[in-house]
Amino acid sequence: MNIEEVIEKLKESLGDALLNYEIREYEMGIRRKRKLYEVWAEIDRSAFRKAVETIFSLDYPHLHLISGEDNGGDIIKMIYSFGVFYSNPWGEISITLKFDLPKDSLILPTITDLMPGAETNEREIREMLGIEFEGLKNKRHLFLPDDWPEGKYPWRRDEYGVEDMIKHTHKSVKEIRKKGEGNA
Amino acid sequence: MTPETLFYAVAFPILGIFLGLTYKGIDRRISARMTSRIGPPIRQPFWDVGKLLLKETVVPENAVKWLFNAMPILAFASSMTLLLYIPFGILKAPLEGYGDLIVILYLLTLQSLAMAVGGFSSGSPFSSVGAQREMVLMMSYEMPLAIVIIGFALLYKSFSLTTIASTPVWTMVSPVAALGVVLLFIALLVVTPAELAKLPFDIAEAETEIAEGMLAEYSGRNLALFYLSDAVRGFAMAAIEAVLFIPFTFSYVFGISLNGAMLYIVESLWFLFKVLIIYIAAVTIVRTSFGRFRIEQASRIFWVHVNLIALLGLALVWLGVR
Amino acid sequence: MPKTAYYIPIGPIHPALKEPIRVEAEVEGERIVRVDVKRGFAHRGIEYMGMKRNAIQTLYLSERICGICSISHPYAFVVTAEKALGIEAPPRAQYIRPIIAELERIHSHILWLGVIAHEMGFDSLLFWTWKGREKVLDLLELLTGNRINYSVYMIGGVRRDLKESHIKAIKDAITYYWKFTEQMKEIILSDPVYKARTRGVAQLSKEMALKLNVVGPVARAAGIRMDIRQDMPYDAYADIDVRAVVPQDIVGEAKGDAYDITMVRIYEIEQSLDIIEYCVDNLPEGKILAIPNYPALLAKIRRTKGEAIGAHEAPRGEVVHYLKFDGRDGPSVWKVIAPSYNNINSWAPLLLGAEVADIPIVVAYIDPCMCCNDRVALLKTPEGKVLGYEYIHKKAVEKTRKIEKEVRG
Repeated sequence: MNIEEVIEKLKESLGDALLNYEIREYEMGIRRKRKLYEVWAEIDRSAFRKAVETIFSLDYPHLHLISGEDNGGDIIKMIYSFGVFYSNPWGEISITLKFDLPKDSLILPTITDLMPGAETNEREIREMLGIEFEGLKNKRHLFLPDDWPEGKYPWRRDEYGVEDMIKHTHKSVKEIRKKGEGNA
Repeated sequence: MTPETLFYAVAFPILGIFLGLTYKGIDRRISARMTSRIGPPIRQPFWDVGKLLLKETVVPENAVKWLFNAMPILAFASSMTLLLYIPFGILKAPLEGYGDLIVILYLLTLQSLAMAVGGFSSGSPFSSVGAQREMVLMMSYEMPLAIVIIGFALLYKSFSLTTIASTPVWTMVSPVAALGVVLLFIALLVVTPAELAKLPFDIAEAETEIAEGMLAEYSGRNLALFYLSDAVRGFAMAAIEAVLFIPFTFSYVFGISLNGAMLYIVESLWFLFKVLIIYIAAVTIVRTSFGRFRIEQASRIFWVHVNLIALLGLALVWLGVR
Repeated sequence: MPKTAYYIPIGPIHPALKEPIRVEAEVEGERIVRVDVKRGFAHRGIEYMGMKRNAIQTLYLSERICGICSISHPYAFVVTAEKALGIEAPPRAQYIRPIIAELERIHSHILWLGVIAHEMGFDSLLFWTWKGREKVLDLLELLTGNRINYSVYMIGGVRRDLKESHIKAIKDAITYYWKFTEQMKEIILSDPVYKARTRGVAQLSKEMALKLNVVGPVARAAGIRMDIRQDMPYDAYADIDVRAVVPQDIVGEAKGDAYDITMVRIYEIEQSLDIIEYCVDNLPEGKILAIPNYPALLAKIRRTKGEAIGAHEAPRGEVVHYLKFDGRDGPSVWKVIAPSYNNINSWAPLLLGAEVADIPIVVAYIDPCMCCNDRVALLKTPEGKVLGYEYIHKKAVEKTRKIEKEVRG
């Protein structure tokens, strides 16, 4: 299945919820140039589960990463990256889903029922950004200590962030030197 | 109690500790050289003991205190007693006539038992698992060990170690029985690392699995006592094997007749040399060239393979003697 | 055996673990009946730090994510950054990078072989394999100046060139390692104790491997032909047709146990040797940096807006980086997924029903690298008040003084 067919499938199942998409080409190689393709799709948050199911219907994917970006505004930009058709030379197509999640309803359906291994990623996102996953069974902290205070999320850049809790790590080297705090 | 026994009672343990620690040092050195390392100096075990004696002895809060403290002493005492049953070269065993091979078997068991009980009483999950493993392992290797001893009883019609030492086993057996004795020797050599808790059978103390197992909670003086009893046991086990299977004296092998003090000195050195050979063959080389077995694999090895070898040996001895 | 359940805590500090993590196992006799894995003991907030620094600083920071595969994260970082910024490294640099990365794969795989041997109590094998590893560490020191944390990659190239004398040393090492790998195959794969301890242990079926999202040698041992160098090639790997090393190609079937993973790793060393040989023989001439001037590079980063996902096949599996440049001289978003992040998923299912003796092997067979996970230490009073740094420091000084007094009498 080539890249156009992947796009067709996504268009077909998502319809209007596929807000925007982009096919990125990367040329690799020195003696023999060949091309790699990536799909970057912006979708509506309501169609997220549908999109994931579509990807699973193409091929059992490999989950590259789940990440989120909080730039201090009212939304968190979520990124899910899957790889499909891997295990073929030059054949892996990376599908990246991007969508905005408003901060007043930070709830997403889990994908652990489709891929149990995604539990790690979802638990990390949950504790780092404060996004609830509906249906996620194990909700214990992953990297943060068990006695981590409620309502503090390290990756947030708003009042839920941790700026007041960390001494040095968030400052640049210059800032530390300027204040003379680098003696720790 | 004669003054002589008193002298032995004091001199033998001191000598035994010295030899046990020296052999341990040699073992570590050779093992290091085999794996292209330089290795510690031969006196390192002495320093280890000295350092342990200086360290604080910690008793865990949830341990059974008196049991926890008593077990190292029991293990140490039993290994010291064990020494007194071993004919040293052509010297007679100090406690000759007060016991025999069966007592030796019990004394060997007593040490493992002391360690297991110490492990159970220390209240740490690692020690408990280690102690359980030690018990399973003990049940597995006691059988071949007992068979070897029965084999000798059949041959000599006696359990006394001095009787056995006085007549070399190879001179009084028929070819069939000799084959049986060889098989018994092999069985005993396989049991040795298990008895001494060395690789590949150091399952009860597996460092990477259960963090030294039974010894996990021991420290300071208690650990030093276990360390000493382990060293002495290593020497004693190899010495027993030397007495049983390589009984040839120096004068017999080289046909030189010596007398007086010279005889005793040469024979003692010759004996130590024999013990060293067995120690290196049964402990050093084996522990350097094997990985650790799992407990059920080790059990199977003893119950099936080693037992078969030992029983076959016993049958041959029986045929040869009859 | 008694049927009482024991609770065995493995870690965060335990001889089987080279880095802190905690496995809590409930044990009946020798069987494990319940497992819980707790991670995050070495979480240092590196991604957080990276988002506050410029891209070149972050590149060096990424090198500190992992101590063993210290070139993998910079590699993924530069691949991603070049994708996002539209920079192409000069051909010579694209050939030098795989050489360093593959040399590192050799040392990392040999290190793992030694560690797993140690875990099963086979210390002689540990000493022997690590003796063989010295040669590649020396070579890396010759090429880059460091035995670990090489700092040779740069966005758009490499910082050090290969000289004639280096190429000769590389060729010598290749000859040495062909022989050494041959010996390793003989010694490790045919050793009966090794086989007894690894066959059937930590067995992961292909289906389970897919579901648990495992990567790298763990997935390949289960029979999945996944390898970033094959699926999404980059740099010189695009010229070499790299193929994933899977057990079914070597012995006909993939069992996915610790023995298969050993086999995969040993054969991957041979594959690495082939790759290095090709790169050295076909090394193009030319410059090694696309933008040799670092202020100019940072200025370009400040001007460019873009995002990309890039990956590199590290010794333990794929390293995925996501970078977003947004008008700052460093990344505004940086997400790192290290191979162990996914591979640790396999612990809980594999340990269930296993034996205590298998814990170290299950734990070690994925070659865990905990460094990629970080932790913030919080000290609290019983009332829940967070203690400040000054207070803790003062307490520490007080205690030192007290002990000093006790010791000196």
